[in-house]
Amino acid sequence: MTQIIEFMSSSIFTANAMLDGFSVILQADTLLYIGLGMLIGMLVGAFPGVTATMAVALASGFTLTLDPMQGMSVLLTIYVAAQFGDRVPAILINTPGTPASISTTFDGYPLAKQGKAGLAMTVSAFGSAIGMFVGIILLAVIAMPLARFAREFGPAELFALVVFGLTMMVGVSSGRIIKGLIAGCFGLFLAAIGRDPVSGDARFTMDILELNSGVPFIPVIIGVFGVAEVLNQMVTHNQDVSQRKPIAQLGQWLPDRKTSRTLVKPTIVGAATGSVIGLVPAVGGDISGIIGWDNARRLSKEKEQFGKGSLKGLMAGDTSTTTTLGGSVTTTMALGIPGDSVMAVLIGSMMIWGIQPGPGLFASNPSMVYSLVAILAIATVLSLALSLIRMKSMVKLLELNNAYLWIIILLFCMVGTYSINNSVFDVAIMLIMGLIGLFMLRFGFPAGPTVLGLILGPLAESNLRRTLIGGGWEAFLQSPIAMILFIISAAALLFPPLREMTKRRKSELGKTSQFSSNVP
Amino acid sequence: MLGRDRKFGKFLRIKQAIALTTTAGLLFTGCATNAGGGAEGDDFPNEDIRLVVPWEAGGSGDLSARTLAPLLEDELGVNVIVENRPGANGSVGYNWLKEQDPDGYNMVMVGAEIVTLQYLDYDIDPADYEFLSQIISGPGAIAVREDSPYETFDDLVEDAKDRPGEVTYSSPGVGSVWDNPAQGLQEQADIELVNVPFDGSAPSIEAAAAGDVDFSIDAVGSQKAQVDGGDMRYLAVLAEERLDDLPDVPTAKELGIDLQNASFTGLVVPEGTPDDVVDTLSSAIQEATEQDEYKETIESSNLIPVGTSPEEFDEFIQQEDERHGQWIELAQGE
Repeated sequence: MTQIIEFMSSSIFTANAMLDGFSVILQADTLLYIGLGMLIGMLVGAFPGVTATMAVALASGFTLTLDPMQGMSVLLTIYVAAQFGDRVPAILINTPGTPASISTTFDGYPLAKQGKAGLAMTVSAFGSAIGMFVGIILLAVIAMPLARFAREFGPAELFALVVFGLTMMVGVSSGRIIKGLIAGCFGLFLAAIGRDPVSGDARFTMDILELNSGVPFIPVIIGVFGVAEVLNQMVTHNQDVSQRKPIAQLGQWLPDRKTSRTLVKPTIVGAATGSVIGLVPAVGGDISGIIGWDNARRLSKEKEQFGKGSLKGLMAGDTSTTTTLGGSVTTTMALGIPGDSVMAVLIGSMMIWGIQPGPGLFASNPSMVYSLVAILAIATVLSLALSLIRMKSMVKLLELNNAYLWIIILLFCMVGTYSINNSVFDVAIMLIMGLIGLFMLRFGFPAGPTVLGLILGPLAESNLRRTLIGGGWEAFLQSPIAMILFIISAAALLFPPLREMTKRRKSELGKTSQFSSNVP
Repeated sequence: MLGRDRKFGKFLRIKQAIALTTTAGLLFTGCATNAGGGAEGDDFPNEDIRLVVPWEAGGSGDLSARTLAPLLEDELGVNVIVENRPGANGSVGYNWLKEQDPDGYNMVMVGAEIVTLQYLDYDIDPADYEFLSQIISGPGAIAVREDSPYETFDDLVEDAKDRPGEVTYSSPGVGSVWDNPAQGLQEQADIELVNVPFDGSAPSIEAAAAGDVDFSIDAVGSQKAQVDGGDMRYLAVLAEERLDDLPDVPTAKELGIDLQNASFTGLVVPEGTPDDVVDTLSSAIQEATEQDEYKETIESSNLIPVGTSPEEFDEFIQQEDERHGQWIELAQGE
């Protein structure tokens, strides 16, 4: 009996908190700030190099004078809208608008080249919106217990997760496994440049001061995806005149019913991947998108389509990336550790407003969680609507003469890269990586593994070394989560070749039996 | 009225910053032209001053710069433009300043790295700068997870004596302002600890809260979220006297280990800047740090606002240099 009363009172308490929380968005000025954040977010998203982190950081200087909820509306909406805006350059010009859309380039750009840019953008926008809602539900319903689960991820578990991420190199090689692994090792080498994370010694820095903090990540992705693609078009445009300006034609906009049905599975795979990754601290949408894309590929019957213009791949990657966002907000609010770099900036602002993210927040300020949920939901709906409306006009840009377009893209890449750190060094890195990316494109080395190596290398190294300092190799044996992840990684590497072998044997058997049946 | 002006000023500055970065990107040359070669003497300052933050946008250092800038504008009567030049533990920004004219129109925000990096083979020397004013102090503490077997600081020291080389602590990074004092602790208590370096304060403290390491040594304010949330306990603060906010937490000194350490933030200009310019800037900074707006912002980040004179800051830097130098040499000697 008492339990029932307790349950009743606690649910009434929750309902109160929900009402309190949701009421925030009924205020006109909050909606106004959401609209403002959305416009900023869409713009910065579409601008390669200008990341959501940077936009939120710049805006936070301005929002400090606002009421906390209004300020959070602006900052969170920028974050959400950037996730929609950044897909556009990824699909149309193979340049991720922010790192979160790296996986969008895998299938989005090939689709655009096939004249299906319109379809790709619609599917991507819907995938992003679905992912957002899954993430929001995560935040609303199971924030606290799941955040506690995240705490189980110490250095040993993080290392095991990163190892699983590294097995993805095979997946993102799109069939060219040897070249993919070479490209991956190149990425790992780039990741080794900088200061040793434990001893602090300089490695491969060649006395260049900037290299002490490692090879900057965003200039590299803009270089190998965007600049390399433009250079490649410049080099090859005389050879295949027939394929000029293929992207300007958009094709159909909405997927037909049959296509939509095939997208259900990748959406679920993407959302599930994103939910788990989102809760792991410090692992953001960039990694989650790649893992979601690869998981969908592994579970698909049409593996060979992935990376060559598969709507399923696009859907899975984009859903996974945005689902992570809800998880990031959850770990940030519940543990006080930033789920990704945007959240690190947000924590700074919240502390100024006198809101301390951390284990105490949900207890002391329960309605706040629901306000966040409401803000994120409204931002998602508005971003989706705006994405769908403005797509046609975005594409007008691509009707320009190629020569103008190349210059504009290169200029955008340079300005965007410079503005990250006000650093000419970053621009130089971007151009060098553009040349290396051109070489890789011409000689069939996939860029995905390089980027994966660069993202995961430092995480792998520092977490492995932390584990070894703290508990030694036994620490891995003592962690069930780590062991399960290692087993999954091993399976991911061994399973495809084994299945390939049995398939071959079966078909051989089939042939011989056919043959023998023909022989009297 | 004033508030509205300030808001508008902020808006202008954001626009200005965007315009500046864009044109600079286009021209490849940076935007040094408008800031260099200002007239000196009585009419300082008569053009925009640039305040460079050598860390990423959005961190607590960046935030304090953006809080301070409008207040400095009120004092000095010119625009103060905040610009981020992050990289290589802040040394990109510090090195950039060295190459600017010593005319007071370019300031850089500094932290403890200004004294520690020279011991880690970086080309950084505190003698290349004129120290204007220290504006923030963040005293340190030792904290453990809630269910840790250590009830007191003595328990920790005793256990470390029983198990040399087995008790672990997390630090925000090699050679950081919170890695070094642990060397002092080992020396003074005659114990041997194991350092597990993380990438920044938040993950490092979280590792201690989750039990991945035995204790955390970091700024009181950074650990506060976990302590208030009931996941961690303070064992000792590393300050001269008990803190007003934490009257029940003893100092390490009371417990027989005279270890003090605090993170700090301050402002510098290049060496050779004329004395009157240094004085003008420093007194403007000290005035600004007296404002309620500044104090409230810093205090809500769980840090202590201060505003020292150039002489005080200079002396403080020399002390820090000596202490951290000894600690780092101890660490490297191991």
